[in-house]
Amino acid sequence: VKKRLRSAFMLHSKTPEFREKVEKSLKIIQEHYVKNRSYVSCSGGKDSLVLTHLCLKVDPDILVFHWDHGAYLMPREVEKDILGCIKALGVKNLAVRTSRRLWRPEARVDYRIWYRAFYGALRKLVEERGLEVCFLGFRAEESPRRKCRTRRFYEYDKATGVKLVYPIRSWTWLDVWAYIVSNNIKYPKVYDIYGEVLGYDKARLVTFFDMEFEKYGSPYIDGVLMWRYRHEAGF
Amino acid sequence: MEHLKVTIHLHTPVLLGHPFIFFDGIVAHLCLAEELGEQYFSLPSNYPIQELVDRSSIPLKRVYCRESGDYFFAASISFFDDVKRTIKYSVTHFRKRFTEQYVHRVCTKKRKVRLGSGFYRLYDMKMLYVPCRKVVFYADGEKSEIERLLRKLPALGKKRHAGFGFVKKVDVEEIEESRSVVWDSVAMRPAPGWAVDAVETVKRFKRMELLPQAYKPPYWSKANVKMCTVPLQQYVFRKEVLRQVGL
Repeated sequence: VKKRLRSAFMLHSKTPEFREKVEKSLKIIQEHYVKNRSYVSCSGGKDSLVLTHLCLKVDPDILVFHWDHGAYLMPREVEKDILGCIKALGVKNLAVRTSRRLWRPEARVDYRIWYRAFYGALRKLVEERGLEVCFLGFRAEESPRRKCRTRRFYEYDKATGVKLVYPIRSWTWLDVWAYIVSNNIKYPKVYDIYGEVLGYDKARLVTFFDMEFEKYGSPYIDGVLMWRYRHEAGF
Repeated sequence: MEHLKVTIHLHTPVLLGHPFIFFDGIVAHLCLAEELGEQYFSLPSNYPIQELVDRSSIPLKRVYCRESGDYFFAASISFFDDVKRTIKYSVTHFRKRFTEQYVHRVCTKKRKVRLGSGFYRLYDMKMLYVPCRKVVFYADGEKSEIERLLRKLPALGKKRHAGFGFVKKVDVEEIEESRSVVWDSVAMRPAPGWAVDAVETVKRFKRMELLPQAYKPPYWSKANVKMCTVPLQQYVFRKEVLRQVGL
């Protein structure tokens, strides 16, 4: 983040509204947290990094679940960077899962492959460890659908039966960046590449060259900003 | 074959799906469209288009590998406005929204209109564009033929139907030395690994980076992806390659 923007985020982090939000989120986590039965879903994006940081304050041994999308959807360099950021938070109990099905070129085109693989692995993990509560970094600001979904701060997942909790539901992008900058959290470099062109409010970490996001123009933007990784996985 | 500098002056900014536009890609497209006529636009997907490119009379110099017979065209990537200027990207949006006022025109048996997929799918596509006035290419080829083909070029880049990258005029001028493949040790295009002297490159520049990229038209074809030089990075090219482009 550039100096000027960084100082703006720092100023925002000192506002009473921001502090209130942080306290409220911590309160939600403490309220729903069940020892040895909770986990944080961490994609490595800015929201989930913030959420993981908050959850680690409540329980430093909490299970952090990270999904590896495979080389076609997530360049290895970026994945390495993400894992580095998660580990830099001080995560002790990290579970990384992936599926062979995603390590094929079709993963970029047919997104049903991803959903099947992801929920299959997640269900297995939930059953193995007897998990009941999942903390997710969804925010109402992201989309109207997420706004509706997170209305009650928690809901029950139909696929796994786990209680999904959204502690940072009311946060804005400014709050997220203010938290990252004020707590000196390491974030993936991709945000700086995309943030400078699209703006830090619109920069998101999603799978690359993924046709599921074609309606948002993501593959076209990736084609220009991440062109080096377009054919990386095929080699 | 002359050493050429092609300047394309533009009316409107260019939208991109890749940081570079390839000059050989443009010329090959124009050339094949002319050779095949209407057929070019109705090729079956499994048609061996690579063979067409290999056999067609594209008026650009081909740089061959003596051992494998592989080749690439002596044509550079695009340089926006100025060779030394760094590109500043901007963002534009393409939106499609379903307007409820015309809902009575929708003729379906079902009472629901699906907005998430199909014909009425909504979208909000972000695309990157370069607000530039001209695009410069370097190439080695037949000047008169290239000039003639480029007269048929209406626009450059993506979303041309929406008015982006509209061509104002094209200038083709001869230059003294070739800049199509290499210029002052800087690679001007992706060239396959065989074109580079790896040992000399590492000796002189202390590093050598090769990336998987397409290096000849059609650029969308995965069959043309090989480990290639990264444009605008320094390399020592093999003497055989330099001799072919007249350096």
